[in-house]
Amino acid sequence: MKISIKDIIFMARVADQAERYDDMLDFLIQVIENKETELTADERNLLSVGFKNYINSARTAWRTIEAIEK
Amino acid sequence: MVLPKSNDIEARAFYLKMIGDYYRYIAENARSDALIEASEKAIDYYLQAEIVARDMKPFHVTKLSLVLNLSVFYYEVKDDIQKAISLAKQALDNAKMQIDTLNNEDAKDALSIVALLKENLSLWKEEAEDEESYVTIV
Repeated sequence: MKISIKDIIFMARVADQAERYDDMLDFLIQVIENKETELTADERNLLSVGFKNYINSARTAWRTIEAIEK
Repeated sequence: MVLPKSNDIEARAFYLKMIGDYYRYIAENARSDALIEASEKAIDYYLQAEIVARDMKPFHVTKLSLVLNLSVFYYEVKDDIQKAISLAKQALDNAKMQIDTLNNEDAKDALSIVALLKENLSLWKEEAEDEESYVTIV
């Protein structure tokens, strides 16, 4: 059974809600690799949100440590 | 990471800005050589995004986000508060002039970014005034 791009995007949104950002990015990369047309504005935003949240835990951890160092 | 390059101006500006953002994040934690490199790459991509976004309306969400992030870059990474202030101010002035180009859907997003720009601007102005003599070296 072939999964459609729409389904993968749906899974990306589910992962977003579940705060599973590494999974979200896996799904989004699949979309990028398999979608024949360009991304829509919505899809671009998903991509941006996914990456941002993914690294935010690392960024806030870093800032916490920097604050402790001071 | 494969980022699709696209022919649509808004998409290209969006992706270029995104690359700039990620170099900025690297620059946040980098030191000496790595910092210099990340910083230069960030500016490079932000400026490319600016060029692509040149013809976009000032109230466009992507263009506003780009200026917001670029001004934050100057404030946080380059320690150039004056440049950050002037970028934010100019974007706000341009946006005010073109306020009638808004359509309802994008209005909310655009206005929230404008609010962020204003907030940063007032914080930075306050800080700039508190400092006694501030010399900017870029």
